[in-house]
Order: sequence, then C-alpha cells, then structure tokens
Amino acid sequence: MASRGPGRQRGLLASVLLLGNRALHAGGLKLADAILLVVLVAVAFLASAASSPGGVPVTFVVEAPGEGTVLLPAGQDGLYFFSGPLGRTAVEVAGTSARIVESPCPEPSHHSGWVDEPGECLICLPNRIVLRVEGPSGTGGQERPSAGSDAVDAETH
Amino acid sequence: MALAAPDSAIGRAARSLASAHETASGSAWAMGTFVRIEASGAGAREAVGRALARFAELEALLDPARPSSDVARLALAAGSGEPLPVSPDTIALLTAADEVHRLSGGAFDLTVGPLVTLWGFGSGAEPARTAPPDAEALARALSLVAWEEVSWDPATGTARLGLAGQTLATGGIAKGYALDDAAAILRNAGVRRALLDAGGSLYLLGARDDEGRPWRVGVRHPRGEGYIGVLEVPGDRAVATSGDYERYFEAEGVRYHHILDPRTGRPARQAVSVTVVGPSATLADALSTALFVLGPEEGLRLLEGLPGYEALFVDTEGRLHMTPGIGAMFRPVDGGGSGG
Repeated sequence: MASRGPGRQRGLLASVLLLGNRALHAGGLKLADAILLVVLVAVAFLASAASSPGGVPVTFVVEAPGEGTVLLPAGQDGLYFFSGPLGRTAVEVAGTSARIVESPCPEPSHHSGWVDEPGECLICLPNRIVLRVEGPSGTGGQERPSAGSDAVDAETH
Repeated sequence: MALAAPDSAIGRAARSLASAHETASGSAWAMGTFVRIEASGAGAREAVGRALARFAELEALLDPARPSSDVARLALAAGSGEPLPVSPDTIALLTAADEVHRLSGGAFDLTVGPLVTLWGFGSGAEPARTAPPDAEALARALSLVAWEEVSWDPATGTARLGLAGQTLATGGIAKGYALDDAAAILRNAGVRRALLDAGGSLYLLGARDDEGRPWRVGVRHPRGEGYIGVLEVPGDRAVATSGDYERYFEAEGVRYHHILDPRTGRPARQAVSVTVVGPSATLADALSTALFVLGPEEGLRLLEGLPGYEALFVDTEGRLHMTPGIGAMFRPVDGGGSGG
C-alpha cells in the first residue's frame, strides 16, 4: 500500500530551496539568479500547497454539529478543533493532507491515517464529525480526475 | 411586445439548459450513519433534498430503537398472534429479506435481533460488552431466530412476529433499501449522474463523467489504512461491503464482531470483508451480510446462480477471492491482499 503523509508534495519546494542554498554557499548567486530563485520558490510553494498527490487541488471539508460545514483549504497548516456530542475532535491540516488527531471515538479504524485524495473521507460516527477531501469542482458529479490516477470517487466499507 | 415571445422562448431554453447542468450536494445523519449525495442534472437541487428526506422517513419506519417505528411495534406485539398494519415499505423490505434468506439458505435472517442485543451490538455506537455471552443466554436468544415465524400480507398491509421476544435487525438491509429509493427519486427527477453514499454503502447513478468512464470505488483494507484496491464500477450499480472491523470488541485476544451467523448465534468466522456489486442496493446490502456468513466457497457458489451480482471476499488469511465479473473491475493496491 502506498505510504501516506503530509510531506510528499513538498519535494519540488525542497529541491528548489536546496539548489538556492548550494548557490549561496558557492558564492555565485547574482541578482538575476536571486529573482529567479524567488519566483521558483513561489511557484513550487503554490503547486505544493494547492494540489493533492494526484495533482488535483483539494479542500478539506469538515462537518461538525457545533460548527456546521467548515472549509479548510490545503496548505493552511494547523490544528482545528470541532465539537460534537461526545466532546472535542481535532483535525490537523499539513500541506495537502489532513487527519483526525484527537477524538472521543471508540472506533479508530474509521478515522485513522491521513487523507489527501478527492473522495476520501474520515468519520467519527459517535461524535458526528466528518472530514472529507473535495476536488476542484467541489461536488456534483462534474469532471472528475482522469481514470488511472489514484483518486477515488468514494470508499466502500 | 412583439419581441416578448422569442425572448421568452430563448429564456426558457436557457433556463432549461441551465437546469440540465444543475449540480447539487447534500448530507444528513440517518440510519445511524452519515449519508451524502452528489448529483448532477435537471432538478438536482430539489431532488437531493427529497432523497435525503426519504432516508429520514425510512429510518422512522425501520429503526428498531424508535418506539413508533413499524419494526419496534412488531417486536412489542411479537407472539400475540395479532397482525399489525405496517407501511408498504416494511412489506417490501420483508419481501426482499425473504428472497436473500432463501437464496442464502438462512445465512441472512432478520430475526437475529435478540442475538444482536445479547452481543451488545444493538443501539449505541460502542459495543456494550467486553466478553462473549454465556452458553445459556446464547441458546435462549438463538431459539428466537426463526424466520419462518415471521409473516406478512401485502394485500392487507399487515405483518406479525410469531414468537414472543422476537425482534428484527434491519441494519443489514435498510440502508440498501433507502439507497434504491433515493436513487429512484433522483432518476425520476431527471438527474443523470449521482453518487449516493450511506456510510460506505453506495449507489452510483449514471456514468462517472461525460466520457462514460466507470466510477472509482476504494475498498477499505480490513486490517490497515487505505484500500486493498479500487473497483472501477459501471453506472447504475450499488456497492456494499460487510466487514468485521466496523463494530467489535476483543476479549482474550479474540475479536467478536457484529456480523452474527444466524445458525450458530456467534460472529461469522470465514471472512473479514465482503464487497458486493449489483444493480439493486437492497440486495447488494443484504447479500454482503449473507456472503460474509457463508464465506468464500459457499458464497461464490451462491453467486453462480445470481446473474448481475459480483463479489470480492477477503478471507481470514488475507487472501482475495472474487467472481470473474468483479475481477475485471478490481485494480489491486500493492500490499492489499493476495489472490486465492
């Protein structure tokens, strides 16, 4: 099974920073190089922050009794807290991935691990918290990621 | 004024075009799970609302924990001999359950209700037990598992349970029934494409996109994170999965899960996950439970006589067993299981 985690979309960004670091230490960085580096960093950051591993921009949607429907765009890293009938559920966003890190749910298999592909969903049923990944067109059966990508439309369990 | 008619015609055409491309999504908590619908096509917004409302209606009829439901009233009157008036939906559900009971040789039986309660898998999210029940209590509950004691009459709209203490466990079929009904509401409204997800039981209406590509459905790994593989499912199909990882407790290293064998009264032990694909969500839902109880060998044999329905089993050793039809849809993920 493919490994899951928040860092795999950061490869391009890391490569660009590494190149810049080497150039600085080599003492050969000119103004034009510096400008180019800044542009590359910006492009790499935007690409890494906005896209899932399948190359599709994603948004995390959390539905919670206490807060209603909340959109968390990919790249807005941090811990977000939601309230349900059993207490507090914490959702972590890291780059293009998100997970439930804390929840009063007795069924950990329902909400373990990271999600990062449109269609993936984590549910804490007793606390009535849903975390799902949406693609660029949101919902409604519009054009979906091409067949052959890792993206799924739904999960059966 | 002379231009009003053409303008109106154009306006109507534009509105019609916009309506044909209408998209909508909605969600609700119903039948003890999270229900989500995404739809595209004429009247999608209004149809999604009605489809979700249908889930709530059926929950009110079929939830044993609601005192006013048909199922709870039947349990209360069980053994009295008096047929009770029930809704056409309850009659239809009993008829579908009877078909799967017959097909599976009794591996699917709604009268496991007393066993479900005894094992602590009744109402409430968490199993109420930490150890299996004793033999005497098990025998008592098992004596009430008797589908032949359930009768219903579509002509009079009545039903009854023959033995005092009998209860019906509708959890293995009610979500599927609701999915079929909700899909019919969407289809009749003009929706051409929709994804209906009731806690992992699915109905896929129409093709996935305008190119007619299949829907991609991840099959949850029964023992780890992620999927064992992806099913590429054509439109107008239901997908249902029964797994021993949904609700269970462990005692002395043994997992006791919620899918009970009506013949032994104990958790079924021949599979850890079964996924069924077929045209009816009602049958797919009930079949996934029945096939889980039967196991791969008997289950695959059953499906040979049931065209249109396909299944994927994960056995207790992690091996995959599947019908040829689902084999053509299945794209395994590395490490997701081995063929068997």
